[in-house]
Amino acid sequence: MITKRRKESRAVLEALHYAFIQKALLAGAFISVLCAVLGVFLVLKKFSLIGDGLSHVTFFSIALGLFFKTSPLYVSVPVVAVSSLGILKLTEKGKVFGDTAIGIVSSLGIAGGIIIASLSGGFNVDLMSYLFGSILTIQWAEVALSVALSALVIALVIFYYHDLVAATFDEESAKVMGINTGRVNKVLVLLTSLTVVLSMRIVGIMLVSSFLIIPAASALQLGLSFRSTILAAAAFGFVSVISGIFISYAADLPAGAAIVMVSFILFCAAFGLRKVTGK
Amino acid sequence: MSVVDFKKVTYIASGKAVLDNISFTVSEGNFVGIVGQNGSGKTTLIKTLLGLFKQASGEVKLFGVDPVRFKDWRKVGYIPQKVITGDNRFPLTVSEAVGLGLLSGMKNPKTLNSAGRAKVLATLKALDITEIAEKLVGRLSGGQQQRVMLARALVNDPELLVLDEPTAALDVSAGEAFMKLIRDLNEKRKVTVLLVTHDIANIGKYADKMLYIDNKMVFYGTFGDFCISPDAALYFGKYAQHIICHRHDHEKAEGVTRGA
Repeated sequence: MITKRRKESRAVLEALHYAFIQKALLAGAFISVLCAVLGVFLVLKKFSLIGDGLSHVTFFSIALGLFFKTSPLYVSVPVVAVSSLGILKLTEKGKVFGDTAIGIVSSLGIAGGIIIASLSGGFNVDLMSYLFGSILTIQWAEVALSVALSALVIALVIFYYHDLVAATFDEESAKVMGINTGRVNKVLVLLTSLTVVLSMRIVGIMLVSSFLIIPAASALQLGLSFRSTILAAAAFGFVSVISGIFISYAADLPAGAAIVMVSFILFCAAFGLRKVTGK
Repeated sequence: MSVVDFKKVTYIASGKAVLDNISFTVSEGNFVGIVGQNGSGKTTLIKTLLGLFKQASGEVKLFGVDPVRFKDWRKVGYIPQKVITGDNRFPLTVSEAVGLGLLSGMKNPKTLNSAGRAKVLATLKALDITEIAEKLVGRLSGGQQQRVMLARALVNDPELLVLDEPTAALDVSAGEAFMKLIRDLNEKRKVTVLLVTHDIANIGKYADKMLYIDNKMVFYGTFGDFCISPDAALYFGKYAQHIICHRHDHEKAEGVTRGA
């Protein structure tokens, strides 16, 4: 038993020597914290499926980027940002329910992506790697970009923290406190769009919303204060990504899927804890 | 000085005048009850005053300024109609919720310093809710939630308190206790109060003045004026007017009424 554990520990330490694992851990750690923090606000605003909708738009923008043989990131950032504002506008001005607005933009993204992919002769390997993620193959430049943008997004969340909490809790009263809730909501969806684009290489378009939803949902089971819930969500996200990458390496499984499975197990643990403690 | 000023205000929604030519003034230290049936425009009036509805015609002034351009929100405490949250997992403690009330007038990045935390604690103490400071607001009873909302509205020492049916979800005794708190604030701290309610007979226990609207203005004045108002007699009928005044007089005799 002890020998087996020693072997496992040695395998983990060995993995840390590989550059591709180091890159995956660094980018994954930042993105996971970022997603979890934003996820708490999105889940509480009942807007959590926006990640799913925007990931489908990302599919379209990646297909577009690949079609024009340019970096999908350059196309995805503006396209997904505009789409996120479109969802918000439909919800606010057009009097469309949030989930309906997300559904409309989401299906439009998928349809557009399929059309572009079919025009370019069907799905190719590049597009598939974005669909399911390939954190173990990311480059140092992508790691640097992920870290820099994560730092920027986290700084903006800290800057707007109290406004975000007030607008999430009670938007009408927040307005009467002089908070520009329209701007706060725009900041939230724009940060989400940036996060979705950043996450696509790590967990893949198909699973990106799980990064936003599951750690936040797990933290909400614990019955903590707002600040502690955000920290707990970040911890859940961080542990899921780090453990998922090692499991993926050890068991030769796709990293994105392994991360989501760990995240789900942690959710079950938090849910169970809530039942046991009666919180 | 007038705190609230409405001059010929009309608000049209879906082709219907929800507010039709409404004019009234609320002076500093007044306690005004805004009364009317469902759909009579009470909440629309409050939201127009707070700049939440911006399309009204006529002139609205809040502390002498158009609410759309008003900046000094520290002066205003507001309790909206709906109970804060029906979700008992919403991760906001009572002290965090009350602390949000200090955000008015702050610039980003907003922080709660030790003076702010002391203010929160003092407000919790004043409203006798210190023992629930670390509980989640969603897990409190309706009466406790309304006290928390009141604490959030009061933490910045507002000059005007706007309450939209704050006792609608409370039982009779919790509602009475809450209203006594508001009356004390008005009497002791001279906070101007605008209270939206359905209960025309009960409002006289607490308010100086009553504004009765039915999309248009039916009556504005003291309860004493209401009882002899020909407009009120015409609208309610003499018998109903008499019943309302009789109930008011009965409560007055018990020493709980004011403002007549």
